[in-house]
Amino acid sequence: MKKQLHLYLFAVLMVFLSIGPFIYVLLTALKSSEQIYDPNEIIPSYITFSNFYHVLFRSNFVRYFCNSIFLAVTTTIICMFLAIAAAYGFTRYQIVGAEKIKLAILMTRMFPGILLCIPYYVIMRQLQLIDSYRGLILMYASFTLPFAIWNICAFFLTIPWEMEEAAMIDGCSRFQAFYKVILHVAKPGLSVTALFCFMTSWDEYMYSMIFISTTLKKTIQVGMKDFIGQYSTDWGLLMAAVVLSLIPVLIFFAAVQKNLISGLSAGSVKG
Amino acid sequence: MSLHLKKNWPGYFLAAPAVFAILALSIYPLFRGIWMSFLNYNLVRAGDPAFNTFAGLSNYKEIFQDEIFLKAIINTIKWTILNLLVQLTIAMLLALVLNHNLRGKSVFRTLSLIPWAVPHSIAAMTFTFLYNANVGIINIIAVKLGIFSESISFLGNIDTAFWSVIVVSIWKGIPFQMIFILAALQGIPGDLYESAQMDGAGSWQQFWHITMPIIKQPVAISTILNLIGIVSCFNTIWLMTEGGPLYSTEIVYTYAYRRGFIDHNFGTASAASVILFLFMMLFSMVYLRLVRDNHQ
Amino acid sequence: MGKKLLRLGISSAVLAAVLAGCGNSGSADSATSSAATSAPSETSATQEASSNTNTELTVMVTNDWIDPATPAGEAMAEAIELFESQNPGVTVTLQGAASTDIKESFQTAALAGGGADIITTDNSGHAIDLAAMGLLVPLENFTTDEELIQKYQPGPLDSGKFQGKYYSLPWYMNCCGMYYNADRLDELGIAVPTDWQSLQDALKQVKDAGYGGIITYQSAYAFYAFFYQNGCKVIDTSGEKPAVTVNDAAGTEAWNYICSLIENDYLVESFKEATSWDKAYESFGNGDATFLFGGDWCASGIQKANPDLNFGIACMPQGKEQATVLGGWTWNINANSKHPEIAYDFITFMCSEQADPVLAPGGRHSARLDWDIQKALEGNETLLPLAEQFSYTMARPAIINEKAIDKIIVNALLEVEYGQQTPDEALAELTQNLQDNIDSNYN
Repeated sequence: MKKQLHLYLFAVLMVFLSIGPFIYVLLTALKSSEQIYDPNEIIPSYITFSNFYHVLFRSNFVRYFCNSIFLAVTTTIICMFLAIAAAYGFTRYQIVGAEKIKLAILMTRMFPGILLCIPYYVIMRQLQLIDSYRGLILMYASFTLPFAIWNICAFFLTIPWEMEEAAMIDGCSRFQAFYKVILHVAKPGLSVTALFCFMTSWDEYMYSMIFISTTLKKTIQVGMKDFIGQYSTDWGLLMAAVVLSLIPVLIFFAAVQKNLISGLSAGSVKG
Repeated sequence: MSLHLKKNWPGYFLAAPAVFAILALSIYPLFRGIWMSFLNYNLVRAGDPAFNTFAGLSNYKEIFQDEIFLKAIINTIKWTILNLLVQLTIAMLLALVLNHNLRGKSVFRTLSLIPWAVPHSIAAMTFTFLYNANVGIINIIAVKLGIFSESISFLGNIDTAFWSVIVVSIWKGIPFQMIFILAALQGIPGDLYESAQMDGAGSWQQFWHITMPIIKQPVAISTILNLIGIVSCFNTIWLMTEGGPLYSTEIVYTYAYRRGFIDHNFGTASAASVILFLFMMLFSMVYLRLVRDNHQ
Repeated sequence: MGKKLLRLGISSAVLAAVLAGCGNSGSADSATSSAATSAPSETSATQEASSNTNTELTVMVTNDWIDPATPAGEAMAEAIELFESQNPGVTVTLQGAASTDIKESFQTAALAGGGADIITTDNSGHAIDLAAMGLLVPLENFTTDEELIQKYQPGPLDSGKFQGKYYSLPWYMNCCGMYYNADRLDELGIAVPTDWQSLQDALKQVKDAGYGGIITYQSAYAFYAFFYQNGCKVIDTSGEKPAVTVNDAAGTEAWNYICSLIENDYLVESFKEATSWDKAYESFGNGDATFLFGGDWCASGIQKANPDLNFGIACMPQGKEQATVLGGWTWNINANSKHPEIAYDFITFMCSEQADPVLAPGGRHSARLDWDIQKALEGNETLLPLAEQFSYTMARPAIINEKAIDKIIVNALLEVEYGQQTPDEALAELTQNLQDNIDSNYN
């Protein structure tokens, strides 16, 4: 315990630095508008929940929130499904030019996306997918897939082929061996990849801004802009919306970090 | 059917849907983007007969004669290296610490992910507030402690703006790196350390000889993904400084945006993007080659 | 090889099915709650044969007008209802975008052949850019120049004039005025400055007493006013090709005046980071700055930042002549629109007396010449000094890439602010940069 004191200190310091600005967000969400610019009220002398009330019951926030959850979860599921299949194919079979194919798909993400929105719009118009979630999910999946494939490949590669073979010798079919061994052992890698897909589609702003025009179909990131006017920002409402929008992400985080224990590792390392 | 296909057809079958999905949607925009850099594509001259005609390398010539672009390249290199090094170091340390069986480990882990959860635009706005010259907490504390005699505008001065913005980008980027390293660390069997300890290996040796070889590959991948994120960290910069003051926070990405959406010249904007594209491609290829060679 | 291709085909079909399946649930989900609206791509398909029956107009506005729970949104919804009742068979659908995104979002869609039928734009040159890209319908298709000139204020009307054609119907307008910290001026015994000299004197006194001077949004916006007051247009857009006049005698004088404000440190430190209006309100509200240059929207912003501040509003200090700079929004029609005629009916309706209730909630002023300022400001007379400037309010140069031009001017000011260039050097470079920018966009 004593030996670990410095570890605790470091962890506490890092956590403090991580959440410090977030505490500021939280405090702002609890302030009334005249407190926000008052230097004497950095730590508010009184707090109000009216911002939260307004965001929840007087705006479209809940609607946007549900839209984004739907989009992010669907994208994550599709992306993980396709990426796991692809990564298994790439790592457990010999595919001619596998490395080149992988590099090619990664390169599609290296061109500044902001300049590609017009060609994307042309495609989506051809497919009649403007203002539809199908279009957005398709695009988000194509954005996250390269990363997901690369990640999962990297994690699958750390699992020795012998483990599968052993399972198959024990009478498992190839699929069972994959299911029982690989998915199990690679759980930490898979869950952070899922988290990455979720966060990417949850955070995406530009494409959902351009491709969704119906007010009630907006995503949460675009919807939060409702609180930012041309000449003034409603900081209290904006920050309350941010705090509320973090709830599903935090739940996802907690779930992922629970899965960060692999069948391989003994669970802990002594320091 | 050849022997190769007979043995490996499931591989093709499994990989095809994902690869096809990516390429089907991305190839046209990507090539369109690259092609535009060779066209006269100044949108506000749409009526000009030269519009949309082949321009050769003139867009590239134009940006390389632009001082702001050269400044943006230097800033991008500084921005990328600093971001990557600091993020990787802190993330590695944090992941190693959080991999220990600390009490309250799961709380630490979840809380340290918060910067990732805060959207880019909100992070930028929040830090803008913290840096504010009158009511920003950093200025208030610094003035009270007597570090500065008078509060200063961190984002408004040439010598502080870049550093102020990079702090935000680092803050926001660490959790992503950290969680991937943490996941990679799970691939190390615990008994490896035990036997190493019995052999009398110190913790630095353990890290170098046991931890590194196993996590290197996943970490390399997450570093490349992180690189793409860092280089395209557009929102943070644009919302905090719009590339200013006097282009001191302009990176190639913001430059491309400026050329495209403020000057409406998609030709030069695409040329700048292609340069960035090449830069990332080269970096990734060299980096992956290095990691793989060491691995063998 | 053929089999490989076949497999590729099969797997892509599987993929498409997967995506289509999930997408359906998504659109069904949204269809229940937003049955009234449909995607533009669908509307264009159904509209081809129709004349006035079942016409759908999509109208892109900023988010301020969308939510029917707010006064502005409610008034907008009522106006649309009135229009629909007057034009049976026409349905109007609003699309909202953030004011920072609206142009980009429309531009992307329109360049790809789509986009809303009608778009509102900021009158700071956005319509010019869109017109230069060929994305807007010129108003000469529907009306004559004379009719427009008879009806609307010249400033807002000229903000949408490109190559001799009008593209925008002016909706509402505002202009830049001077906000001052009344308590502080009283305390120091300073009268409200009315001209360049008295402004400079007041700033000196304020500065000597240890207070900050001027804050404004970091843009050329407020600074144009000084050039206009000296009779310099900065860029003369009356000819075939815009001409840079910033360095003529009048321009140089105005530039030197502005630079003297900067060099004497009369702009507060916050100006360097004031890339949003919020920072300007904050600085003025906290008593950091004594003067704020801005439009009528600042009043509510300042009140929000500090409800206790006692401030006054005056017209811009006078130079050789009285002048100030214009703000506001205009209506424009998408060149891709299938129903430009009906779209024009709608935007004339929105600019007419019938839609005046829409402007009431925000205290906005119509850009029509017959608009009664006194009546609009009943109960809110503090804002009167701003509205009284309308007759001499001038638009920013109606030039392609106004935002880039703005940045060039701001950078020249910052060069002086940071002491990197003398005013003369900065002006020479400014002139050169403006000229280069114009050369790259005009023949």
